[in-house]
Amino acid sequence: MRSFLLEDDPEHAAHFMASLAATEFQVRHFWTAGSFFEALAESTPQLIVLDWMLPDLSGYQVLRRVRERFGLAVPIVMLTSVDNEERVVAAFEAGADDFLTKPVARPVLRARLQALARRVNQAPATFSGSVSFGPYRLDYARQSVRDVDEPDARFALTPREFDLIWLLMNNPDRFIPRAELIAGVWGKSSEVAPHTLAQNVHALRKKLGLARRDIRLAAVYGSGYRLESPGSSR
Amino acid sequence: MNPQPGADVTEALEPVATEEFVAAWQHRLPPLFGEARALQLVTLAWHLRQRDPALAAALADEAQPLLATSAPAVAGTALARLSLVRAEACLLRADFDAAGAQAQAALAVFMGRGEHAGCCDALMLAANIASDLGQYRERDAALARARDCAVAGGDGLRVALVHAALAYNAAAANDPNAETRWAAAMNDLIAIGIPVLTVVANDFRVAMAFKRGDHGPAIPWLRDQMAAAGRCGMVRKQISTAANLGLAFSMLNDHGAALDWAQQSLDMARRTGWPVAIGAGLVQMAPVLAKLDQPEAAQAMLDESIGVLAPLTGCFFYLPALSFSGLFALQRGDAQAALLAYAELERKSHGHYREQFLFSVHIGRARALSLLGRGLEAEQDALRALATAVANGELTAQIEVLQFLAQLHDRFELTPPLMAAATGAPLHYLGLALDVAAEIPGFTVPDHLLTLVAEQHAKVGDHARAYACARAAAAAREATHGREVRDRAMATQLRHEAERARAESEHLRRLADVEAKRAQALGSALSDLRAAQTELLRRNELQARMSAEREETLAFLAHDLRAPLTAIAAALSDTPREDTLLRTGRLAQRALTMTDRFLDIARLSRLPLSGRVSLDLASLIDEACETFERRAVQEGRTLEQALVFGVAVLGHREALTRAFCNLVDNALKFSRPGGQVDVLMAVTEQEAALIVTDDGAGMPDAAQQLLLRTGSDRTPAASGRLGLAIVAEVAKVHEARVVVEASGAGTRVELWLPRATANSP
Repeated sequence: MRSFLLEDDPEHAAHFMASLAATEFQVRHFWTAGSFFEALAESTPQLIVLDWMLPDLSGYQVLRRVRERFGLAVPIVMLTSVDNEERVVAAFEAGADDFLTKPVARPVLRARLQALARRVNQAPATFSGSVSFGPYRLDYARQSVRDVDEPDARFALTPREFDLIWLLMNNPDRFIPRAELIAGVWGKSSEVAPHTLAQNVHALRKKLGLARRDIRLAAVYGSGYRLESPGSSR
Repeated sequence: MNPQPGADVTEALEPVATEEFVAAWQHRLPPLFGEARALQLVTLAWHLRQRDPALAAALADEAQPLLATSAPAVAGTALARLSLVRAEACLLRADFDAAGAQAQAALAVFMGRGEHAGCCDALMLAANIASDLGQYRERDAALARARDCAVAGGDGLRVALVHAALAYNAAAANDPNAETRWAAAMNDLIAIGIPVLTVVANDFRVAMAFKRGDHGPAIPWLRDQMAAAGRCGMVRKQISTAANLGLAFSMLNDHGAALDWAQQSLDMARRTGWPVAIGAGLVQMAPVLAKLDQPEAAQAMLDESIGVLAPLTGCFFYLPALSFSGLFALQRGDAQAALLAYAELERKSHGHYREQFLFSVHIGRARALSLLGRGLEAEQDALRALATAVANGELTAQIEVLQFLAQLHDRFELTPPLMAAATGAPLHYLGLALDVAAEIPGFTVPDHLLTLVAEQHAKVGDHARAYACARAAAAAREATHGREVRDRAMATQLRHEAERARAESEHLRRLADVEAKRAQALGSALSDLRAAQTELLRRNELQARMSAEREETLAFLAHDLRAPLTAIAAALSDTPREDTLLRTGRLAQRALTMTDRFLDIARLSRLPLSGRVSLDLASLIDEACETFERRAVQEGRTLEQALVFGVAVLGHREALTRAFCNLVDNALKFSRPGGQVDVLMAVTEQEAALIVTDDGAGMPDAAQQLLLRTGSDRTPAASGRLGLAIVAEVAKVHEARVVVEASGAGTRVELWLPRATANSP
């Protein structure tokens, strides 16, 4: 997968390149925004990873310009050295698909990038068929949840909760903005109280016993959620 | 003669004191208490009795209870002095009965104690009361007793004051011996140069000058008197002196200056609110206005004065007001109004001062009746007026009434007097008038009298005498004119002198103002500088404190970071083992986490209150708990939540999440192995809380102090408490309340946040 990395710190760049060596990602590294945009004029990558702090432009400015040029077609991951909420929220609002806090553990880096790559490659999730995530097997037609490790376990989910976990399990390790989750579960034009999504997520965690199965359904700065595969967290 | 500010207060009760002494006593007052304060209050009340009667009364009220514990000798005298203060206040507001009663009460006490000065002051006041009531016999009797007391006490100043009062009364009563009896003595008093003596002795000099018609020389004396009265706090005297200055200028035909002074007198009187002073001021203003050809304004003044004075029972000044009222009525030809005024004057003066106003009543009534064409009745009243003037020895009054009788006989068919058979009544009366005029030394026969004589001679065909009289009238007119011109010139000169003196004093006052302003500006600049210096010091102190805290924190950071880094170094120096990399990674992570937390604290302390937004509390708690759920499972602990979604609080999302995480983290860390941590919510109308309870051994005091920000040591004692420091910082920037309950059975921490309202961002 053709990927561009814009990072001015040599150590982080080296760590990044090493982490993705021998994977499906072919990474071109740029030190400055200038060289990055020059390359962008010649070829379009399938994935972009941007550092927040750059010598010539801020990562935020680069992000805005890429989005202005390519729209939402190319997934973008922001790298920050401090997980400052304001920065992350601003990045999401400017159109980042995910963010990572340096230093990034190798498995986390790989899982996140692969999740984004899946989004690019896969067709959007449909509300039919079945899906597997960790020990869970979901059947949409039956609205059933099973745990293969605990066949006797019963999970009584409401239809909304089922739709929500269905959407999340279809997009594992991917940050999904609130708006996207609400549109997917409650419909695009629905009026949902601000806390309703959180309330459903909270219920899902409890009912499915995610923590007990080493699975995180993490809130990302109030901007959205990410369902992390077992062992993918740092 | 003046009291010394440092002297014992009991000796300080001189009749008057200058401003400097009053100021010194006022300055001395604040630290005093008990009897010393009471006596100082008495002194001040006494000397403020005219300067500020309200303050004097308040001081007297304060002093009275303080004297309750004093020795009877001290208290008795002091209380009697307070009675005099109150008596004077009554007199000023024309409550003559109360004033008399207070003065008598004080006198009784002073007499009982043999206090000659007190007796003298009480009697002087009694004399003033009698004077205001026109009771001259009582006044003179009181003054005579006052003199005896002053002499008995060997009190030279008081003797002088009594003598000055007696001298003035003699002058005012036309005592023919006044000049020989008092003039030299009063000049001697003035020569002493003490302000109060300048005031009282000039009363006599001015009265005598007025009698002689020497108004010019009186003016500088009146000015001296005015200034001295001001220094002594003799406010009532200042008012009457200003009025006398108006009268003097009026007599010199300088009506402009006369009006200025009369106005000044009235203004001062109005400021005091003393009814007698106001009424008298108005009465004195009226003729000045009349001379300026302002009859309506003059009448208005007179009407107002009558309105003020009429209700003051027994007040003497009502009588001159009535007299002027009759005169004004005659001048405008209103005989009925004049008759009414004179009838009222006769009734009111009937008691004590009949003789003083009898002439006015008769001559006024005669003129009014003449206007009404009632010649016979007019003649009878005119003859009564003449008898009164003769009885009183008033020569100019005799000339006036004789002239009027001549005119009366000329106009009406009246029976001529027996002696007038040869010449006819008019010439008879005019001849008598000329005879009287000849008795007055230096008197210039008025030209109109001589003209009248000439006319009468012409009427009876004696043209030679008529011619001679007409020439004498012309000469008199010239002389009068010359005198008027001289008077006017003198008045102008005096006014210029006064204006120059006023300009000089104004110039000095302005210089003083400029100086004061400069001093004020300097003071203000100095005060600004001091404020700036204080602010600088405050900032320096703040800077120093912050710097100390930073250094403390840095030292702590270095210390705590050193631990994992030392461990990393140790791990790396060991023979490489399988877990070395894993261990160094973990240690590096620990150092990183710690650094992040420090950065968090630094960032949190800068969060503005205004940047808070409405946030769903349960959602935030849920996010925080989610971070720890897997760890709790792994450690075999239970993390239970009971959340109420839909309750909004005001806050910064990241900061609150961080604080909640730290509280849950801390609870998990210190709960029993296999124990339980409960995360709850509580909601009131104004606030909502996150409540975290654990079943551990109980939070140590130092940690509680850190959380509640009550500890003196701001440095977290161990890296494990950095999280609590963050919670405390978050609570501070959110104006949140932290409640901690800890026991051996566990810890409960409550973080109460203000709830968001419908208007919150």
